[in-house]
Amino acid sequence: MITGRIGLLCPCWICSAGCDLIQKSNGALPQEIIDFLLSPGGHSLLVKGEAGTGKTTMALQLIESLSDQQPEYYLSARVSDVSLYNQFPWLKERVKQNRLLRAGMAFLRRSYNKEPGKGGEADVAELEQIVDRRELNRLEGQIEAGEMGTDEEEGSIMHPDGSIVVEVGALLPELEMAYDIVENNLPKKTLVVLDSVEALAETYGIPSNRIVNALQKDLVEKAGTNVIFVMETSERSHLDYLGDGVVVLKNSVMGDHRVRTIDIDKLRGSEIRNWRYLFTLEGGRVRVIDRDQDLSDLELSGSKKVLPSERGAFGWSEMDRLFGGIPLGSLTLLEVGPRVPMDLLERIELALVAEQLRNGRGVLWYPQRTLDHAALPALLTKAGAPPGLEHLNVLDVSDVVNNAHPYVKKLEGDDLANDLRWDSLNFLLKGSATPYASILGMDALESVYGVSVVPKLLQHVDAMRRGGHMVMVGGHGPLLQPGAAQPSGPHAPAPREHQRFGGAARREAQFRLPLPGSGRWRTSMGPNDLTLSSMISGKGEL
Amino acid sequence: MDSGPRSISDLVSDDYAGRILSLTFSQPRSVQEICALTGIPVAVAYRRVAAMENAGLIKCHRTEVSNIGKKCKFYQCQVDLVRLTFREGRFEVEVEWKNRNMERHLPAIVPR
Repeated sequence: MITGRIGLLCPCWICSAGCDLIQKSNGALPQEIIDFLLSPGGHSLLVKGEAGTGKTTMALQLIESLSDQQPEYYLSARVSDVSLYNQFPWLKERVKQNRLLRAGMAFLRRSYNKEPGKGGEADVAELEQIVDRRELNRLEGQIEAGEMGTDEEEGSIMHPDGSIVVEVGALLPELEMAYDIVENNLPKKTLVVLDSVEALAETYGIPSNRIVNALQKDLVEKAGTNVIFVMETSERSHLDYLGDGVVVLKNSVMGDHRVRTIDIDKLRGSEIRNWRYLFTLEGGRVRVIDRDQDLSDLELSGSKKVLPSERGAFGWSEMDRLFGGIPLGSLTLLEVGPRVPMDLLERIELALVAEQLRNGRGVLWYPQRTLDHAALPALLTKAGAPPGLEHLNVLDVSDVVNNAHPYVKKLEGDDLANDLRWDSLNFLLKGSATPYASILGMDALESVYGVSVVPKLLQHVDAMRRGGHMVMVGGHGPLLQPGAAQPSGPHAPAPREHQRFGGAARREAQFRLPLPGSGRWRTSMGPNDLTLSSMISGKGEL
Repeated sequence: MDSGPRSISDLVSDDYAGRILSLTFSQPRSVQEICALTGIPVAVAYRRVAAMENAGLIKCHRTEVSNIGKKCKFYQCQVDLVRLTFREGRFEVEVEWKNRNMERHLPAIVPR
């Protein structure tokens, strides 16, 4: 009977902020967006997305990222969110400061209004407007003339939370405050964040595009200010044309998992290296996965999960956590798409080898990629293996195998079935604890023994399986033959072509990696897919 | 000034206009004050105020000018009572103006 979970998993392996790829990528925000806001001149950025996608968190992190260079003005039309203050401790203080600043400026205006000329010309000059407020004034004029608003004029009667200060002559006090702060900070560039445009528009009873238009023209284009407009929809709108940059935060579901993405639709005048980033909000922060990260020095943390007795560990905590280990007495296929870097597959192999060696268990390893035998001890030590590799057997057909590396075992290279004869290999594994692991690189085998390696493998696989050991075959997929019995169930994947292994198979998991050019996520195997399939378990037949 | 019965009856039955009348009854208020105290969106408030001023229900009491030249008008309610009655098959609107010179019975409202 075949057991195992079927489903689509997190495409980046990442379901926790503690994952090694998250740690390596250092999380945080797409660099393109930071560079865009740091580039000369003012820029407007629309941050769009449905509720709960992380827009406010992203906007606040942008403020943090740029705080050294750009003072900010954060305007939130929402009731104060205590959880935001926990994630961004500076926010509460900043909100208080802004309120005081607004009150102070309002008082100043009232004082001057009551006693014109008080303090003399110098004081009046302090209030001199440097930022062109033409669009804002035009907007206010239309409001005063009663020309703004819809015929229906629906909208909740919101009682202000005390943040709105009544100022004589101030029609749109929050926006005017933004202008005042920008003026105050000149010549330094200010980062203004409006969260959200729709909420502010509803407060004022005017269309959102009038707010965006006024700030785009007065603040962004004329005063060189950066303005982030948080928008509560991911739908395309005419506002996309107004903004200099547009990013959309999305949630989608794959199987039982939520996938979060940031799509960079536009960054006028800036290069977009990757148009889509996967990210997590775990820990209350946006952390993206950098697609271009170099995996060569990726360190995978060892397994922490206690697995059932019928499962062996991958040696990488994330794999074990997601898949519950490798089933013993079975053949497991690890298929990768053509664009999945071999570095990653190599890391998986190393992790499994190190896990076995940590437990004194025997390993037969035909690596997917040619290894430097001399460097292998250091690589394995880095992967967490103990010194001394007496339980390791690296299988190699090359003539450079010599006694300098006793863990490398020479194969003839003519007949795979003969080279993997069980009585020979069993002898190599004598003295090692069980269950053994046989880790075979399919592409490497095919390159030496030809494309018809599968029939030659079957005896070895059968022997390992009957002994309750693990066999993992990895390589560029697909690895299953056409006509292989397809798994059933609500998450069963579509049949695939060019499969190499036949027999009953049940896909344990399929997931896609966040690699360049991955484009749309598909349900069938694609170039960036990595699939784990458990061929058989128990006493089943191949 | 459009102080016709229909416009007055429409306005006084409007929730926003009702609040504006209440707030400006005993003291003049600016539109910004009205918005801050009632939560009415500012653009909506200005439209109402314009309509109510046109109907004579409120009147600009004074204008203040800020040091940056912005004008701010303060409005005050001009009515003591507005009564909408249905009698003998017709709606009638009766207004008692604060300025008694304006007092009159308005023609009956003919249903649409």
